[in-house]
Amino acid sequence: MQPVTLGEFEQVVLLAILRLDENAYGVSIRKEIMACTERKPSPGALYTTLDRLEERGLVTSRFGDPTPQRGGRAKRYFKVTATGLRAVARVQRGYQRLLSGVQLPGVAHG
Amino acid sequence: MDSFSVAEWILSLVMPQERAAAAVGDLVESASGPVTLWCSVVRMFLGSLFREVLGPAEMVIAAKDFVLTTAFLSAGYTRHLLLPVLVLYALIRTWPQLAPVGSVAGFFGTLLTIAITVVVPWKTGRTVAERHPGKELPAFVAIWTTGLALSAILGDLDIPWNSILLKEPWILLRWNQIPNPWNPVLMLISMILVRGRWLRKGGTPA
Repeated sequence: MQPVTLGEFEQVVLLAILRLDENAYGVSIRKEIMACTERKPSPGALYTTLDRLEERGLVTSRFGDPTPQRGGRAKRYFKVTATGLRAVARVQRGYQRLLSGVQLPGVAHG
Repeated sequence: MDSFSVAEWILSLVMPQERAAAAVGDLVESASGPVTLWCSVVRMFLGSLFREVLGPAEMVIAAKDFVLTTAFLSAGYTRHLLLPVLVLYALIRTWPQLAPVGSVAGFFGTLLTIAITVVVPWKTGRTVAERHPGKELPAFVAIWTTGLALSAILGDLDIPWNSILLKEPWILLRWNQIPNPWNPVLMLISMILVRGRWLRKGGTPA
């Protein structure tokens, strides 16, 4: 079986969802990415990626209750699946192997 | 209708309504300005549209339903309205003195043309939108693109079907006079109206 490939932004999104645990929905995922990576993904790019990840079985989503501050619209919460977790772990292990022995300014190696 | 509702309606054309509502809810919550809002909506709309057009089996089923619904509806109307034309045609051939009655055949012919060029596309759009919510527009785009490609190929090859069929004596078999049920504008309007009905009800398309 071919290993699941992940784009760079897909990894970022998966990691943000993992960090947020039960509170991962569009707004919080975007904020987490902005806080951790200092990049500001457009909502359109984020939702397109989330939909693609869900289609590939790497995340699942469920709808919460509608809230007034969202104009009566529900939140869509995301959760990383076992397949998504394995995929992101495999890619990160590859990065760690590549990084070992390389000294980058401001990057600590485990 | 505020711009968020319009955005939700636009997105619900290419994705389930709950998902469109959640995405717009996020934009409401993050107090997006009009530029961010519409850029996001356009991107999500195109992303979802292309993903549906290029991929999943559900869209293929919707596209097949488009073709089958059009064919069945056209066949149904033809069966009902063509019969009187054929009967009158046979009568006139047998008894030429009944020729004035032949104008009635024209009436049925007109009804058939209206049914196929107006009623069939309208009903097809509505039926597919009801059966495949969120997939109807990608399926429509896929069929339209295929149709355009086919007509371009057939035009380039210059297949002489037209000239062969034009030589046939029976007017109803003349290729260029067969009514065409493919009316994209009517299909599109009926699909959008179905979607609008769901939005007004506030329910999620089943």
